[in-house]
Amino acid sequence: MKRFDRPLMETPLSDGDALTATVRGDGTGLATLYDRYSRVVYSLALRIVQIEAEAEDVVQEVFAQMFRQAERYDNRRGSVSSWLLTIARTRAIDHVRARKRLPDSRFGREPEAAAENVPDPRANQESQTLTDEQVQRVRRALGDLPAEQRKALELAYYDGLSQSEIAERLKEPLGTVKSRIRAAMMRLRDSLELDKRMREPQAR
Amino acid sequence: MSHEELRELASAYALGALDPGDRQRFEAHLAGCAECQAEVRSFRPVVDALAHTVDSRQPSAQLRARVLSVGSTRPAKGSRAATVLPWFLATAAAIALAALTPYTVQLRNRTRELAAAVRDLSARLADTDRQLVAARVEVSLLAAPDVRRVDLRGQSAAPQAGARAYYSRSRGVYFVASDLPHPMIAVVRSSSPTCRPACRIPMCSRSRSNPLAG
Repeated sequence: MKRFDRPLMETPLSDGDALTATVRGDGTGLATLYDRYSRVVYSLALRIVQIEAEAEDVVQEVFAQMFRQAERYDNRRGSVSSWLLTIARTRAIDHVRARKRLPDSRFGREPEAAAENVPDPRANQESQTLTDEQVQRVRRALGDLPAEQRKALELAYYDGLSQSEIAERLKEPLGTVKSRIRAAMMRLRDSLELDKRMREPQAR
Repeated sequence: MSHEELRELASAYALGALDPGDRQRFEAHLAGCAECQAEVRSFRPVVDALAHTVDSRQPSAQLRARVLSVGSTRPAKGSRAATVLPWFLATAAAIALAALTPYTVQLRNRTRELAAAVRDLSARLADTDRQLVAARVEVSLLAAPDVRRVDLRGQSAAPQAGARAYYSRSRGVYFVASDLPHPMIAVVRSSSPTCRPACRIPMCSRSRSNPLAG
């Protein structure tokens, strides 16, 4: 099956091997990961900061941070791409907040916060890699969300706002915002679960 | 908060959208609750997928070299002191960058204004260039070795008008007219396809003095 996270042609190094090579000081490791993920990291950063030059600064920071912290990476906490995208999102949101003279996002300085904090003992990178089809499903589910749910989700994801900040922005009660975000997240998760169930009989 | 209430925070936690108070409460519970851990994990692919749903754009080719230059400076694993320095420098750079960002926006606006001013000046410069070229053609024609002067008298339609033409077979025609009644169209033709006529006609001049007279 075609893997979404492997957009490039046959590359001998897996993500984990590339990261290990990076730790050893082998430049091909960093180059491999850059070629594999710079596009999605840049696209996400650009969506958040909206300015191309600034998005490129974010990309540079993301790979610099990956490079510095490669030794600390633990694949039970998520795939390399997931880790990079978490760093990218955190950095990009911090850029926007700095521009608006707001304090740094609640993620704090450590990008491993939130979702990354729960290691999965059974996890390996393969099982965590999203397929093109799954991404398509989430994209479609996102488009099908009621507008107010999508708006709340986007303010959380792209603007890095907390639930009470979103409530303030939308002039809605906090409880309403909480249930909208939860409903949106569950719908998106359902879109992935459906895919999983469809695949399982073929995979096993 | 009950387990059920806390479990409802899992999706917002995975999204990083909990307020600090909720987050602390949830994390304290999460450490000892396998069910909530599984719940958080189940939302992780959703958060990952969100990153992939944005419009895909390619960064510039120069960025690759910029990023990879970091990779050539990494010391071997274990040399602690050496790894601290780049980390420190990168952090300092990030802090400087954050401080510079509002200034950067201001600079970008200023750059846009200056670019508009440059475009305006370039247009005026091009105009001046054209005038200069025309003047050079005039001078070159007047200095041509084969230049011939032709004095022209006003005809019945404009008896007071006067004109003088300078003609060079190689360089064209230079034509000056004065006291033409307004509006009158002067047509200057060159019989040679290679020589373009240079022409200056002070259409509304009342003066009889001809700049080229004498």
